[in-house]
Amino acid sequence: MIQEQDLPKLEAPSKRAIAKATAVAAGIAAILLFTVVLPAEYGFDPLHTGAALRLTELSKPASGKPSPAILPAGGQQVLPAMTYTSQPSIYKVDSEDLALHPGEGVEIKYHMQKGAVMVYSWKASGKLMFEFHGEPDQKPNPDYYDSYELDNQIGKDHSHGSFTAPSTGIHGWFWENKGNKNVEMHLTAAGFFDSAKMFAGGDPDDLPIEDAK
Amino acid sequence: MNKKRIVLIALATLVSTLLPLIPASAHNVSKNDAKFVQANQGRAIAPFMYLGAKHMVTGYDHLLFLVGVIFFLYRLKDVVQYVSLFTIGHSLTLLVGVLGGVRANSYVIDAIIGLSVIYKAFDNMDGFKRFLGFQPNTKWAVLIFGLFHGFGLATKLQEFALSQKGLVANIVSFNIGVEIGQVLALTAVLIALSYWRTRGGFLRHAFVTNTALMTGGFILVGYQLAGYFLA
Repeated sequence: MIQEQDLPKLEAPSKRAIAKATAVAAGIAAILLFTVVLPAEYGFDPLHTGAALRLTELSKPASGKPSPAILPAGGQQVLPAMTYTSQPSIYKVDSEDLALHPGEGVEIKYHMQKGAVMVYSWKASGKLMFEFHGEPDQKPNPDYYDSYELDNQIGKDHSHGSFTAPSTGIHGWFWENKGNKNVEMHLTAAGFFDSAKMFAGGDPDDLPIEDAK
Repeated sequence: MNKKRIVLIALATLVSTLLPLIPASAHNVSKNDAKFVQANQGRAIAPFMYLGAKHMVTGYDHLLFLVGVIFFLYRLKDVVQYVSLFTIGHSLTLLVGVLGGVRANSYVIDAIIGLSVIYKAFDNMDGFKRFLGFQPNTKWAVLIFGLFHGFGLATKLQEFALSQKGLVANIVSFNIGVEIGQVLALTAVLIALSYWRTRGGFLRHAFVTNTALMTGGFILVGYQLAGYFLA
């Protein structure tokens, strides 16, 4: 049988040296994990080194490319660009119940005109990774999309908000169950969208939407 | 420990630590690729091959393990033999995993892959010989860890709702891509290692290098276990 080591190595290191090296490796790994990696990757920052080095910012959901014009009032009042828009037709409502097996992902998107508004809430029985994003009808390349809210590290089990479409196109969520249990979720949305689509692997399905009563 | 050695350890550790951090999502199929996989219907041989190759070339956990495996292999014949065993292992579980719909938790699998790096580094330090009095069969070890690496690949591929149409062709394409990527990455590693071996310091620094490799393994394990508990 061919030995793995054909060429003479230097004399094998002593037990003590190996144990020391292993301890050093584990020690350095632990230090780097707690000071740098975990704060940057998960926002888990027990020693506050992540905050000091501004690494925790990496773990926060990237603020969308089209910087949201209307920020939730966080001390400073930001006046919306348009306080009032009129629309030609009654607004639509939609609600969906979905179940995601571990590893499964699904996408629901609403087609909206630029400037149209919707309000939404979704709640889930467990944490879901998600990205709230949109694809303009006119996009520079087939892969183009705008990200509005992203959490692909820890995940959330709910999100509520309002949304003003930055472009005419489809806007909505991609959710993914990265856990090991089934997750049920409920989405409800109301606003000036004209159609809804669900993407679950194959061709998109049209979802029926209703006029508000 | 002399100063030079400490500097070397520090440098090697820095490199093995920064590697995982540079491409923030290196180990996951990236977002646009994911969209492609999800939207894809039917056979798409070249794209899946490309994804497989990309996954391997940017998958530092697989690469760290392979560096450990071929670290003390001097003959091409041995390299081919060990890499073949690794390939058989991961191809088997990739195919069976995806076709059988076996869904493992990716954090756990990736933690085991990190463990394989620690194992191999410890083995390279002659740790098993010293502490157990014998060296566990290195070929079996490569094969068995290959099986886990394959489960990792299968789990990654299954995170996206794969279309049933052309599934087998697509998995096989992904698998072939993985092998192409592996050959590319290995060639680079072998060139670097061979060059280094012609310089005097190889054997002297082997121990330190394996310590750094092990550090990388520990970081991978910690990173994945933290993900399992925090995410």
